[in-house]
Amino acid sequence: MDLLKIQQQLDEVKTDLTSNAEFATLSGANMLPKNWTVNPYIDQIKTGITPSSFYGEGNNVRTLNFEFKSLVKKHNIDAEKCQSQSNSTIIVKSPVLESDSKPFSDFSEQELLERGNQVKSDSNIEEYVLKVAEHDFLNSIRKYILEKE
Amino acid sequence: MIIEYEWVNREPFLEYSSYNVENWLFQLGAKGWLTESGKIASSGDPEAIAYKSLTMKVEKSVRKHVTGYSSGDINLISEAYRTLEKWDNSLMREVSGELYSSRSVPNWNNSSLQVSGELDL
Repeated sequence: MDLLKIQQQLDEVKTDLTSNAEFATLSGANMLPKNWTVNPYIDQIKTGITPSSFYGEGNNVRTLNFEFKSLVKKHNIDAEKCQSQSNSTIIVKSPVLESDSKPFSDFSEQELLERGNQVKSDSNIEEYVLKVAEHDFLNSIRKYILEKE
Repeated sequence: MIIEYEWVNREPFLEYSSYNVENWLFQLGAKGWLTESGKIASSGDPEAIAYKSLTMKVEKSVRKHVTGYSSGDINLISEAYRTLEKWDNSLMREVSGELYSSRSVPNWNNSSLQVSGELDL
């Protein structure tokens, strides 16, 4: 997961598209076809949590794996929900301090939820999946435009 | 093969209760002839014809008065669609498919299963 890299890839696709005269014309006139309007938003992110390592031979958790499954839609300009979507799954390992460590079953739902939100925020999950989706949507438009018949 | 393209329609449609453009209709036609002599002989009536059309709905938040579009704008926008949607190639395939499709045999007799009279291809 590299925000800088995906931003560079996204910028490259945008540059290619805006340097296409016809695309620039339609974009400037606000007349892009609906399926080319890319304004992604997060429809949902599901978080899965599993312990991945333990202290010593015991069952006190050393690391928690947070699995973020995201569903991003292309735009929200219709009354009906957009059907174009981008899916990502990102796993982030989060260490648990030995002093906070305990068996997984002893973590409360609230505690796991708070840890999950913290990891999501610290790892910029939302920003990343939005950029990945925007890149994927725009790249498919670029491919279509450049495609030779 | 000779093929000629022409815009058949580039027309705005207004909102029910205002002069703002809600939709644009763009329609491009292609006429085809097998030979130049065939075109002359037919006085320009095409031997094959095909159309592509698109209705472009303008999003409500960016709609504007019909006089806000210059003819130059409309020409640029329609030509951009034509290029991006690759209409020329698509129309050429359709017209040539029609011109070079299989043809019937004049004077074919389905009872005798032969050509009646001279074979005139």
